[in-house]
Amino acid sequence: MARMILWRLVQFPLILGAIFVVTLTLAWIVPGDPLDTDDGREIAPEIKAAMLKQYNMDEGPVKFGVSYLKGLVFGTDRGWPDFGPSLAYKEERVSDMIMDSLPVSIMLGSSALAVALFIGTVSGVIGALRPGSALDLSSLAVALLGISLPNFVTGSILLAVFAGAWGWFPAGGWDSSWHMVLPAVTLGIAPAAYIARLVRLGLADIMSSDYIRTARAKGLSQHRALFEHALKVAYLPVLSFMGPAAASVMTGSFVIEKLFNIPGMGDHFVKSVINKDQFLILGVVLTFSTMLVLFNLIVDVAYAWIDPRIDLA
Amino acid sequence: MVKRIVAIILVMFSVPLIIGVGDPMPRADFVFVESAEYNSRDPQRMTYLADIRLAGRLFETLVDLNFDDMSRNPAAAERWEVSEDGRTYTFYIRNDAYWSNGDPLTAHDYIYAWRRAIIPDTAAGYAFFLFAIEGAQDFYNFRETQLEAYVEETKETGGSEERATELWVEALEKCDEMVRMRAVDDKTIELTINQRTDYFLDLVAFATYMPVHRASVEAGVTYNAESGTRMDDPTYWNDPERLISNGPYVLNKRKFRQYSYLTANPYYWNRGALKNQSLLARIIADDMAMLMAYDQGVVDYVPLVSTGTAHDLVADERNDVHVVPLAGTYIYNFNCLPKLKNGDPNPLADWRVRRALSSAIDRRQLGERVTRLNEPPAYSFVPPGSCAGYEPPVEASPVFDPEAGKALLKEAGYVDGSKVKGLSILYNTGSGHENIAQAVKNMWQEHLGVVVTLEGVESKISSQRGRSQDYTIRRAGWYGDYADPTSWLDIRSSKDENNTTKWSNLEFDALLAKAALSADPVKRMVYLQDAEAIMLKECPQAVLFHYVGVSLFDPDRVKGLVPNAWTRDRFEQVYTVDQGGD
Repeated sequence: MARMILWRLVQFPLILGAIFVVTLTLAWIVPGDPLDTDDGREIAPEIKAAMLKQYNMDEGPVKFGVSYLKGLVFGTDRGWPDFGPSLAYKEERVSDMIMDSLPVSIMLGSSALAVALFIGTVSGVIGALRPGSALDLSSLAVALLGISLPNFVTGSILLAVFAGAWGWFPAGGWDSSWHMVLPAVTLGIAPAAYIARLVRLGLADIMSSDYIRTARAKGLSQHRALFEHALKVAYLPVLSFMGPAAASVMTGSFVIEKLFNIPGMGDHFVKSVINKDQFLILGVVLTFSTMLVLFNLIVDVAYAWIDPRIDLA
Repeated sequence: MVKRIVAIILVMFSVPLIIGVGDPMPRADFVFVESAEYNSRDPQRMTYLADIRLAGRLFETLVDLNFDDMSRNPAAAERWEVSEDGRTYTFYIRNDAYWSNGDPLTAHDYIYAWRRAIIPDTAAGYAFFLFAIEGAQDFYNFRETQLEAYVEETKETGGSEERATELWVEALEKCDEMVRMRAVDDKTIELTINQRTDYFLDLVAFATYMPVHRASVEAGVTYNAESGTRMDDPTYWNDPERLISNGPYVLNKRKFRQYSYLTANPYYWNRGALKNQSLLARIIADDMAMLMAYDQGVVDYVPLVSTGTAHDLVADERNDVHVVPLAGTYIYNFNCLPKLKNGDPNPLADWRVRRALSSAIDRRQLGERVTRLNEPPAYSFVPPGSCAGYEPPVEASPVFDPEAGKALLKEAGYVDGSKVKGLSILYNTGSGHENIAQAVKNMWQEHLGVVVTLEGVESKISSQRGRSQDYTIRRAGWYGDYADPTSWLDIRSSKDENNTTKWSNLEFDALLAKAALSADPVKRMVYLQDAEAIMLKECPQAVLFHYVGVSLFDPDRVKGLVPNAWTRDRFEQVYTVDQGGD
């Protein structure tokens, strides 16, 4: 296992390097001018030229990319790693913007995942224990809804009912743990539904397999067969789903953030492209990629931990 | 095994507890909404209106322009004198004016800030506001040439920070020599402008003319060895620990994309007049979230409700919904070049075609049926009533008259509208622009038989295509920066970089120039009226309507708030009264 982890870590900079090149190319050819203002007034050409020079953007993507990489790899007097300034918010550093918003997104994302794991596992197990029962059918119906409804619909409904009509929760913002409940549930519903289906299908499949039938024939109770033997196997697909799900959920959701007014990472993904803010585009993409690679690694380690028979080497 | 699965779930649950949500948002006397994070708090660099509004709370100009009644009042300067020829101004800074750290405010702070604005190094978007000062533009050009020469000279040998610093010292001397602005003593500023400008004090009241605290800005200055430029530290402006201001408030705390918290400046000379001790700007981008926050009482004031939601509120006739006309005009720019980007001849190069299109727009319908905010139909570019002493020549503008439109098309050689080909309306998506474009398209087809296509794009793409004349008809809007017709009319002069229509009329240019040189304020307005009449006749743009602003606050609870046409609320005057109950 140590060798596997080491090998993954060696690949890591290569993957990031490739992502950097592709992202920079795309960010460069996106139409639009990052220095335009939205309010319609044109910036005098000589002032625009002065700005481009300031950002090392005056001589094409190669000069820009090299100076950017320099700051990223070796850091600057502003610290390490330095993702440069934001073009849309010229007084902000991209590193600060990410450091401000990433914890928010990680927090929201991990609560959403916790909600998803809990609801998903419980309803999946119930469904598998009593297939066809009222409980199973209703959890299936909820799962179907959870997957099919886009989260801005679920979010709006939750907001209208729990914040608007009943006033139990704040309507938005990021002030206290209380503010987290509605967005975490909204964000968690879809993965919860997915997990419930994975668990239910997996369990149903395994419970009818030969070795479980043998165990049952030898007198093992259904509960023990399920919890001690079947669940760990049925859970493996959930784990592999968790890696990418964690990375995507923890790097923010634009829709949820906008709806609940949460200062997370999702907004940066969309706005950086709209503003053609190359520094920020590269910053968020590289952060996201790092997390994606990292979470996949964690999941693989967790695989081995849950079921030591799995050999990852 | 189950234990391990439970362990994973528990770990997931514990992550949020470890990170925590951080400090709660501060409480303030008055809470208002901003729909986006401020772009800049640097008075010389800012270009966005929201930033300029914020700057007015943090920094104080020499003269204050009261947007409620357009009066010019003493601010950091207790008085000023204007020379006989209207060109030389002397400002006397009050003795009790201080920075928020207790340092006295001096004439040197202003001169330092203004010099910052007129060097290309700063890349100040509104530098041209300072080009009114004699020699400022020349100095800008000098510095630009100097930097270019430096880059050329150091291409092979390589530059150094020392050399760049020397360059700046040279430039400083040159600035004193060239630019007619100086600190006579610590409290007196004298400057000379190129020509008599009646609205010059309105420029002085603008953000670009705000002072900066020299010592703290200077502390972040670096010299770039490669380009030779002098840079200051942009992060200074959003750091509450470092930012020093001289206005009614100081930046106490802020969180990116969450809030900016301002508290009363203990050293402000007029702090006794403040009706509140703290302001909180909450940043909420989503319309629905904004309205919910208002309904829950989390915010006291929503300054600008977006067009999409506004008409429902207005229709409800609530007493907390306030509608004011704004000093801005919604326009469709026409590309006036003889040839289009693709080389085809441009039908819009003929002013009669442009005027015909403009005559076929039923402006009242747009306000009543499309936006449903009843915006006043526009028959001039300068909104009526926005500039004292100026009546826009509305009679020169086309009105809704399809027959006149058809006749103009015939005159221009089109027997019927379907012969006018290749036109399309370019608009940026969102804010209801597509509905307006659709309505105008239908009007043109119905009344003239002219068929146009619609093209909705991102606003950045729209502006880029506007700049390169890669369009035929393009949606735009224009708000005045100061209360003078030139704030609108200047952008249609042949040389102005905002003139993306490329309309060029020498008579119009000459009238603007004549107005600029005119010593008689009444005559000057007549020249400007004549100029606007030419523009309205030739229609480089169709003017559709003048904007209205819809804002939300409870007039029984929030006192002292008067929304105005320039969206510059005076928050120093605002206070809330508790009504008991909740």
